[in-house]
Amino acid sequence: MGTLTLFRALAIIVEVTVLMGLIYSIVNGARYALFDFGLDEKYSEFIRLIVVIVGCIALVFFAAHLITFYPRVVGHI
Amino acid sequence: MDSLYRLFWERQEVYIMGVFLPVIIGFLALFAGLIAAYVKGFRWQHLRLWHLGKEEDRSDQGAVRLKELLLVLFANFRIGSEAYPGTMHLLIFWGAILLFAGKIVRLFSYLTGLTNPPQVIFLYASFAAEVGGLLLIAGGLLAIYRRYLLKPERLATNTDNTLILVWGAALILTGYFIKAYRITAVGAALPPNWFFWAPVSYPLSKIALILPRTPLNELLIWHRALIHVLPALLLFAYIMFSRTRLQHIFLSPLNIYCRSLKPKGALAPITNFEDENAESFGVRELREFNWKQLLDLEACTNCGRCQDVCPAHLSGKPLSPRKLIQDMKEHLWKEGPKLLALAPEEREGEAIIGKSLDGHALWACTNCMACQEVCPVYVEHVPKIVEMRQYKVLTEAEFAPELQLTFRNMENNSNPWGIGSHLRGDWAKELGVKTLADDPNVEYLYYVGCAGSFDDRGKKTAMAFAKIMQAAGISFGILGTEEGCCGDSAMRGGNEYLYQSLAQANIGIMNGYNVKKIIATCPHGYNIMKKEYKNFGGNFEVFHHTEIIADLIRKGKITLKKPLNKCFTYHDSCFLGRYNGIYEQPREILKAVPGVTLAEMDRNQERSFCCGAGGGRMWMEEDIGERINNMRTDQAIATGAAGVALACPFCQTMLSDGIKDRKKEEDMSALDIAEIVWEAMGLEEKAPPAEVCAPPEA
Repeated sequence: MGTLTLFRALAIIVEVTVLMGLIYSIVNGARYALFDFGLDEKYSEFIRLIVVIVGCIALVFFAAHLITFYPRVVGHI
Repeated sequence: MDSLYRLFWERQEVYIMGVFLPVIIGFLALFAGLIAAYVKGFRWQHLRLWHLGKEEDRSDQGAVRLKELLLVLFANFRIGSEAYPGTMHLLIFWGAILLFAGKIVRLFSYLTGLTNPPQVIFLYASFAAEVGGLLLIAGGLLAIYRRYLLKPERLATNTDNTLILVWGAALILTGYFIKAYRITAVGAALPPNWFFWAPVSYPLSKIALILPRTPLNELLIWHRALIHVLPALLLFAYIMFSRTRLQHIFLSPLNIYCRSLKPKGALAPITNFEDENAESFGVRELREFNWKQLLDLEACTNCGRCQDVCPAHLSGKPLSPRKLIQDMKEHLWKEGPKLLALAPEEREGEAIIGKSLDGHALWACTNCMACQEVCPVYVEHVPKIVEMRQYKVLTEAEFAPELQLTFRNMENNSNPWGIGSHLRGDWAKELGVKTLADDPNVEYLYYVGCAGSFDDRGKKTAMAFAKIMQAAGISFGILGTEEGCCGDSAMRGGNEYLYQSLAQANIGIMNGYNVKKIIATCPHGYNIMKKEYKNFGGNFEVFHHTEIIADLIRKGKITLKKPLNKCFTYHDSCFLGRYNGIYEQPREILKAVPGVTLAEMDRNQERSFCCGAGGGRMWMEEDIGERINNMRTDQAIATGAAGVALACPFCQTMLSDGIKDRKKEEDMSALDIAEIVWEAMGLEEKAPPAEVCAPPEA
């Protein structure tokens, strides 16, 4: 059971990493696209701040969500 | 389909029909919308920018264009010329193709009912997608290692590069996770060879954690499908609508298709010198390029291959062809929309030079075309540089003082040295070479060129070649004092007006004598008469002297009997090699000379390193960075050869200077191939040199 708990923790870390990779990509993709569409560079710092905040919220949410709902059963039956 | 497979698919059906189908339908609907928006947005995002430029027809010879495009796309022709990045690109390209092929079959199989009952094609689709993902991972790892650990100088890494790698990796992993969880949730009844069809997902499924009840697992897989499909859709949107380098997926093939099919390195002449209303010549701002030149800027993938082979960059000059194109791309993106916001008659673009480009970069280019030769998407750097030079010379009269002197000499005496033009034919007097004025019925006009007529080293080449032709019984004559400068240095240096007047004078005289065939010893004259003179009515069959000599040897019209016992390295002139593809004839000649061994430099043939004299640089000071001719001389010295064989008087001057600079005059000489051949013919008594072919001293 101890092994399973450790394995579950590792699985959650992997999942959170992948999800944060996606969040990083999506929010930064949106950020670059905004500037490509002509948003003034003077908003750069503000947008960066928003991106960091969104990233932190997502990190907390995903960690909490997965710790609560992630399966506790070994997959292969 | 055996019963075990049928059972497996039936158990999957709940996930396929209940979970994936709505996601797939949603994805396809949104993706169709995305494509429609992209097609409509393509005009707004790209076409209108390109149409700021001038008209240019690139629609001819569709079959030729398509063939080359397919070669580059599917065989990764050109891209594969470098092993590491070539392999990396090949893995990523074919990985993406396989992945998409697998996914498309599966996407449409859901909608068309192919999966129920399951078809064998579905298994192949699964396999293709899984292998495609693996190839992408392998290619991605190579990219990460190269970009973030090896960090070659030519790669300019920005956050977009990181973003693409992270996004791609996350999508591939989430894709594998979906299938792994689906396999796990199905439970037993897995077909025994399922490992083969899902070589990644199947092992992953062994460690996947699932929930105890089917409805909960449906929810789990629904989540997984969403966190894979939604970011995938957003990645497509990012590629289509941002300025990411991944846009090369669309723009590079378009650029390859629209590439120039003119003879290599040919430039478009300025045609409006007679127009009294013309206020400027050459390129000052974006609108003065043609549309294809603007497409070039957007199609550049920033790969940096051009920078790696650029002699100006490698010798420390302020020119990187990669940066030049990237800077102009930024300029296009910044200034283009501003111009488009104005009515056409009110448009007045910002100058490119000075604002987005350093003028020094413009003048550092030797026009060697190494950048264009390696560019995997056929960006045409050199014409842009020459056209911007034209503006600086013809409109602003702002260029190097030494070039001003050269142009003045060419205007006054029809040669860059400024030596009296009445002396042009003097070198030939003692040889009894006829002029066309004496006998206009000769088969070939030997166009001697300025170096052959006025430069002491060049004269030796001209004399040697004339003697070879006389010995071979070739019917030829020269123009003597009627000959003028070919105009290459003027044209490449941006003085198109001077070039055109020189060219027209030459063409007038040549046509007056009804000249059909021309032989040139200078590749600059050879190239310009072959490719550019036809714009002004000069339609000649032009040969380089190495072509003629090789032919004479092949036909046995000259005999090389005197052993020279010498090791030579051959320096490929850019205007002979890259511009005209003449690589074999000079080597063939050298190999035919008794006692001559040939040692190749590391950079040879298509990859040859410029001597530093092209593009008008022959006449300009080289006060920034290392001297290019010295770098090339070092490469020649490293072969251990006792002589550098040449086929260009400019290269001969540059390498002779390099040999002097490196204090190697006693060990090494720079000789034209004509001189070597004449000596080997043994018709003039001369003591043979001692054998020198030892590796250089450390």
